[in-house]
Amino acid sequence: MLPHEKTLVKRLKDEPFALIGINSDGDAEKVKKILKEQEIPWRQAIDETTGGPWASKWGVQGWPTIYVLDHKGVIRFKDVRDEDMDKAVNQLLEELKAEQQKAKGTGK
Amino acid sequence: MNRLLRASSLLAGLVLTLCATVFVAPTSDARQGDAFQQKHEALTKEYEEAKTKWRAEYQAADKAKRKELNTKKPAPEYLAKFQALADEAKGTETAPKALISVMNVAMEARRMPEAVAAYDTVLANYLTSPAIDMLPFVAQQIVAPEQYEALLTKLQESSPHKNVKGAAAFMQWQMAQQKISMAGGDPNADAAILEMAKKLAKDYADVKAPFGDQTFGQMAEAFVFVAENLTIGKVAPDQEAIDENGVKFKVSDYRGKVVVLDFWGYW
Repeated sequence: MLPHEKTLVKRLKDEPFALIGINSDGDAEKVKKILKEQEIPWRQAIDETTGGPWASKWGVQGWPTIYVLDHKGVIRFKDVRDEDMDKAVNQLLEELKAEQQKAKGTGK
Repeated sequence: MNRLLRASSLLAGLVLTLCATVFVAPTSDARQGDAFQQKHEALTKEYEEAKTKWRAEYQAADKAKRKELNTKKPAPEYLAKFQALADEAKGTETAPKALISVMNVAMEARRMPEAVAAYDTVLANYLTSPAIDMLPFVAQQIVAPEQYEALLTKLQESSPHKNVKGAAAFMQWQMAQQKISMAGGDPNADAAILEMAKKLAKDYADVKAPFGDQTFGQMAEAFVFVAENLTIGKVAPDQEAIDENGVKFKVSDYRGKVVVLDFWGYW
């Protein structure tokens, strides 16, 4: 998971893409330490425990749990990992670009 | 759809610790009832400690020692103790609790006939007790599926206590989920499960489960939220987050970007 996510984030650093971790390891200090040690550059929501407000509201019972949202915030994929995550993200980025092109075309 | 189910299968292990935490008003002789109650709590604690100690020894042991330890598990000894307490407390609210402990410990000791006997005693003598709200969580592993389903229906019909009815309704809902997850996806069944969850959320909003700190209603409500808001095609619910630097943000701050949300932990 982690190595793949690092590659993904690096590859898409100039694209309209964000990976957000929702972390259940502990408080911000603890998470910061892990981020530094593991060289994880992306933003985290600090959920503190596996019973944190995010995990409980989203009914998360297993970690990792993945949601992929499109540029409108719509849930499009769940629990996609590695190559499947790549495919999902690529597809959504293409959709976004196609929509932007279309907007440009009709905007004139 | 079957996430809560996985959670429920873990419940059996928690049962012993938890049934000691449920307060039951003594019926006849209050003082003696309290004494039995305390005894049950103490015995439950003692058994948990004995198991923890055994596990630690087992982990530290070599192969030969492990073989020996396998014949010295604490369950048989405590099975006898819980059985004795159930006899001694006969007629009080502690008896059904002790019997439910007997079911658990008997299963751990792999002595099913004794688990079944305790189950039968509870059914014969304590069906209307408020102290049997753990029964729906324990009985699933003891009786045949048809018998178990009949028990859940019976408890909802005949128990005068909301905590017991709620536990039975909750497990009936869990069973329904289990069935459809085994049958594979079926939209009609999914809709029926969601309706059951909504009913639970409404009927048992204030009825605390005998484990954890939520009510049955809250657990069902969480399921309803997930089913209605977290399926593919829905806009992700917006919820405030605080990042590792203490900065507040929301998922909606990321509109215009493709977003991967990764619930994770480094453990």
